[in-house]
Amino acid sequence: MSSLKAISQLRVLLRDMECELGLSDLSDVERDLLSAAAEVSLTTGTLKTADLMAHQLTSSVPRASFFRALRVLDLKGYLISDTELGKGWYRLNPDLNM
Amino acid sequence: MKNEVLRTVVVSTCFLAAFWISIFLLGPIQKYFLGDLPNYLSLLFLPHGVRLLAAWIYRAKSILYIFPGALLAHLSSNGLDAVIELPTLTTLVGSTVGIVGIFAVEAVSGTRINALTSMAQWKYLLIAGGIASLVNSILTSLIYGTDVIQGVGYLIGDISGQFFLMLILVFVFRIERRIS
Repeated sequence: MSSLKAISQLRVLLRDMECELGLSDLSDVERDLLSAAAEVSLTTGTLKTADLMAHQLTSSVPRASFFRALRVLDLKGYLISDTELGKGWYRLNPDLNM
Repeated sequence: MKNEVLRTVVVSTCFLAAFWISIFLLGPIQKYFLGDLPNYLSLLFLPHGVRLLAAWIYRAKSILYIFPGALLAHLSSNGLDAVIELPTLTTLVGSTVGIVGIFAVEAVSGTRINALTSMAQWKYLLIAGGIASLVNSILTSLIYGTDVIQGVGYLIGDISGQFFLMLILVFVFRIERRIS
């Protein structure tokens, strides 16, 4: 395993631990949205707001809460607006190594 | 080959640093509250976390990466003459138990820990740490010829040490995220 991959795996492991111990700086909705984003990104390679809203982790979240969480994840640098694809498109911050 | 040497240096340095923190920094605090405990028994043995994380990442090769650090740690607290004494065997045991614990968990669960995509990996790693610690406690107690109570002491020290090392890393990465 390369050193970069090792550090990446370690970061994911510790982030999971942080979330499950309730030490995360994200709310439940933000955490669910981030998990949904990670999964959608794996499947489609991109992140479209509509796909995120349709995900089973976020589909029951009220619209206002969803967009508030989206804005927080954007502000905290977890998600980055994809200006090339247009409004409503995001990508995961590659520095997070999720 | 260059990578192997680099990994050995990094993992062994982490082990040695964790050992020194446990013995020379946390040790006096433990001594203040609990008095003298034999054979450098630490109730917060951080290097066990290094063992498990190295074994989780590097699998069986972790034995080679940890061993120099474990040997240096042992000699730094027992003196160079200790290299020919029987308790030095504990360094080899300590370098090996991490991957033994991981193999045991994987054999029971039927899957590789690092192949899991759920939030379960860190819990599996702690269970593997518990098994590794049990093996380590039994073998270390046999080598030192000590009693069960001291073996339980090693067990507590290893498990709590692994948990706290991982917790420390959680906060280290959290600070790093905020800075970046």
